[in-house]
Amino acid sequence: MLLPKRVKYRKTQRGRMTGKAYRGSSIDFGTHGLKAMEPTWITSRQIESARIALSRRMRRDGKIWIRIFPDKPVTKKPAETRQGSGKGSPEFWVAVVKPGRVMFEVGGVANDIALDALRLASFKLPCKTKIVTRPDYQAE
Amino acid sequence: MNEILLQAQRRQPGRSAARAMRRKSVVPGIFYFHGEEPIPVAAHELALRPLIRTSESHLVRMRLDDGVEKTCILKDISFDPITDRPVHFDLQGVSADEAIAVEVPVNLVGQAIGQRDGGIVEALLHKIEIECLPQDLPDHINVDISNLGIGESIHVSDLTLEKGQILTHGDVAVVAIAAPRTESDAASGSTEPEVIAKGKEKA
Repeated sequence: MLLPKRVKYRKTQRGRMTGKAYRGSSIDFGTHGLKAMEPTWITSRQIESARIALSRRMRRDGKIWIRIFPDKPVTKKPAETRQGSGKGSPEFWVAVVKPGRVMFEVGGVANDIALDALRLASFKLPCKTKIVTRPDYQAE
Repeated sequence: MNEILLQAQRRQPGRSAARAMRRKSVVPGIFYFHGEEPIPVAAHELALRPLIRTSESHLVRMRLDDGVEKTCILKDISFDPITDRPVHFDLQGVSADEAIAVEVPVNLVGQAIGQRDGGIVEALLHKIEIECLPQDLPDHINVDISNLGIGESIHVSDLTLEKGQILTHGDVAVVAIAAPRTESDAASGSTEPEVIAKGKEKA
């Protein structure tokens, strides 16, 4: 699963997810992509799960690009603990995704396989998504 | 060289006018050329589609509602990140005796040797910037990949242009044939804990 190698601070505040993703909102590497339509946190498990779904459907063909990285730690307090005594310990890592962000890209496979693979990957994610295609892409 | 006729109209500049246009599926844009006053223009989204949904470069013959015609190229276009609808476009005027810098799509031709051995064709560069006269503008740049084996690549410096010159740096790879993915690649997941550096060390 994806997680940072080094971090400056162990714990972060939650932050807000307002606005649109202006950066990373176009397909830059492959031919098809999966775009987020709502703001959300995507955990490293969900990214891994979507990646596995993509690579299973594409078998060994083509290439997959993951355009998000879980660099935000999420903390949790242990169960049945009283409030107070500081912030909990980091439990998992998330990527902050805003609407418009292209999260996954695929390339080097036929149009129908790419669409189906991204459809399967979208079921692993906690937000509404849409499949986008390069404007200059011509299906063979 | 393809030429596309774009029916456009003059528009009022400004944000609220532009928003009102977008609600009617009309996309605001700007035409500019050195030595001329920029003209704020607008075109219907459907009229722009042949310019956007294409893998070829075009010269644009823009015809304004007052009968004025301008020859130009689509220099830039911006899209809404969520809806992917065009929000604004830039048209740059051209003159027949003046070279223009323009991005031309790359077209991969043939089936690579490495592809037959299970390799994956990686198109690393989708457009190449070239400088040429408007009448010499190629539709696309053909890159023959039929002799490429696994691990081999074609760089910009390997390409030649009949007329005009390539502006993209020669070291940039255009296409490469990567080795097929292996299972170990796919399952590359590190479970090691992160190494945490201290934020600030106390003096």
